[in-house]
Amino acid sequence: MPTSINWPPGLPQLATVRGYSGSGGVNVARTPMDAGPAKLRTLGNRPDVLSIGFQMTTAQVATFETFVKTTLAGVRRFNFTHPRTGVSREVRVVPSRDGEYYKEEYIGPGLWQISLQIEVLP
Amino acid sequence: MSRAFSAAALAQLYSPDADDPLLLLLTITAPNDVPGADVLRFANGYTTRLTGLETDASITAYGVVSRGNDFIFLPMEVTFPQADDAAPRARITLHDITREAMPLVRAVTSAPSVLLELVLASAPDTVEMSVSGLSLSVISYSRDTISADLVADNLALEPFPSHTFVPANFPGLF
Repeated sequence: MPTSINWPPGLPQLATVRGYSGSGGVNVARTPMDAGPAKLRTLGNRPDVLSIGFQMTTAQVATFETFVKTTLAGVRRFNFTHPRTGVSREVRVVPSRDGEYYKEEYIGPGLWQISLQIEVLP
Repeated sequence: MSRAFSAAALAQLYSPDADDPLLLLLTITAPNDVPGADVLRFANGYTTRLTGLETDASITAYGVVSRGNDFIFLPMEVTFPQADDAAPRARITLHDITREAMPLVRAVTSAPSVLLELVLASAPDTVEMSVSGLSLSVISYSRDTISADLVADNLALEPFPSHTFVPANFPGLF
């Protein structure tokens, strides 16, 4: 069932150019041989990981914090417009190993840069 | 004992660039004495999202649909039975992060039965290899994994006749 959780409308809908990067690929097993080319075996589709950032006001940061900690509980997927394709996709926030879901940087009075990683579910 | 794999499966096994993986399907049938006994179906790979199993609050489910049944993707390691004369014995380790199998493991009082099948991702309804008649035993589990032996009774190793005329069984004869 497609998720009914959406990226909050009160938050910026477009990621900033600053800090954006993406990756794509296929989940494969690559086995090196003693000699000659390695053998490859397809395992399935792989989630594409995007690093994105947003400029938010202090109030928006509070909304974002509630969204990640309460609405998503850190694990749920949600609908998000892909920054490159413009198509709505189901994504999840990718935490770092110690459960860090996003970083915030001070830009100026009442303005913050939020950066996070998301994975686009195949 | 030889296995009758299809030409497509053999091509995938021998190809240096295999683009159609062989997937392992694991079917665990709970004993009848388990309340709410059910059949658990897992696969060691995935071909699709199992959206019918998903809710907003649930995890995202990937897996394989084979013959109308959903097999949930769960990373696992299986050591297959050796093709020799000994009683078949394999070992399986389920990486049960999301606790699908843990309630069954905690509830069973006798061995659940197990069916192992191999299918091609492109043709999940066609079983390439099947190992049936196995049961789970020597089950151990930790926070993240469940390990168990997959054993099969080898009737050829049972004593025959079942009773022998020895003093322990028939003292009146001696």
